[in-house]
Amino acid sequence: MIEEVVRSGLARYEYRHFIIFGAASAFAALATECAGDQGAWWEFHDEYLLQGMARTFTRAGAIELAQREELDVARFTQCIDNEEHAERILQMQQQGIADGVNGTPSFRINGQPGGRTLEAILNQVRAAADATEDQEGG
Amino acid sequence: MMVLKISLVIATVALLLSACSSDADEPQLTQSNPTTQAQQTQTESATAYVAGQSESVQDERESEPPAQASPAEQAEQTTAEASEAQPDAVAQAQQQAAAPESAQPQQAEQEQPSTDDEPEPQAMVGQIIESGHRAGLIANRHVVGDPDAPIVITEYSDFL
Repeated sequence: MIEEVVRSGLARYEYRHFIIFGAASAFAALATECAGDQGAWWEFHDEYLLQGMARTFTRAGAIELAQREELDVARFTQCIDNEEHAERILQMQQQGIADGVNGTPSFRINGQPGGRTLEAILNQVRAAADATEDQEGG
Repeated sequence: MMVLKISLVIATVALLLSACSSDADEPQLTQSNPTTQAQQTQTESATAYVAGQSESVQDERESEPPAQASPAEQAEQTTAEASEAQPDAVAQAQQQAAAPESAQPQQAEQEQPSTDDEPEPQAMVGQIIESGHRAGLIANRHVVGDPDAPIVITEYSDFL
């Protein structure tokens, strides 16, 4: 449903790492960002989040996934070994803390705290859309 | 840097000698040498900068701006430092030769944007997701959809 709202051009969707489950989770975030360097951010995201393949939370698993996605494995490996995107992840974490995030998943709609359910989130999106239209109309 | 300093010392000595000489044309020729060397140094720096920029862009298109700017800035600083360190006589000599000199730094500056002619790095901006329930949507890393969309849905999450 959120994808449809995004597809309509009404909203964009941003995923931000908020690490609360420790090193394995942080590594998955790091690997995802390194995959993002080669255009495979969402492939890694889906693999980690939706399919719950815990084995890919390891270095070997991430490299295996990179091979499967036909990435430049040497470049990917260098990226994760050097933790090249650690700063980016840290910034997301800090932004989340600044936004008042204290658990995951946590949503924000135009910076305002979002609901816990999909329906609540969509209602907020509609309300924000109406407010935008009012502003443009007025 | 050492070459530049040595050149400046030579230039200073040459200028002092030339001041004692009755021939007016010769000092100008001598004076032009250090300036030319300084320009060559600057041009070499600029060339190295272009090559470095090319690599950094290919490696990471979100590379930090200071990495791109610093070599050029260093080159400018080098030139500025050299100007400050020069004795007045050498500075005057440079001013006398300013007309032909002014063209060369411009050439160096014009060479820098040549990276625009290079093939763009693999663009990750606006990449279309090919599979899954987001298929067809434009994504830039963790952001999906129109970057100018009026509403931003942000999800903070953890993979575990």
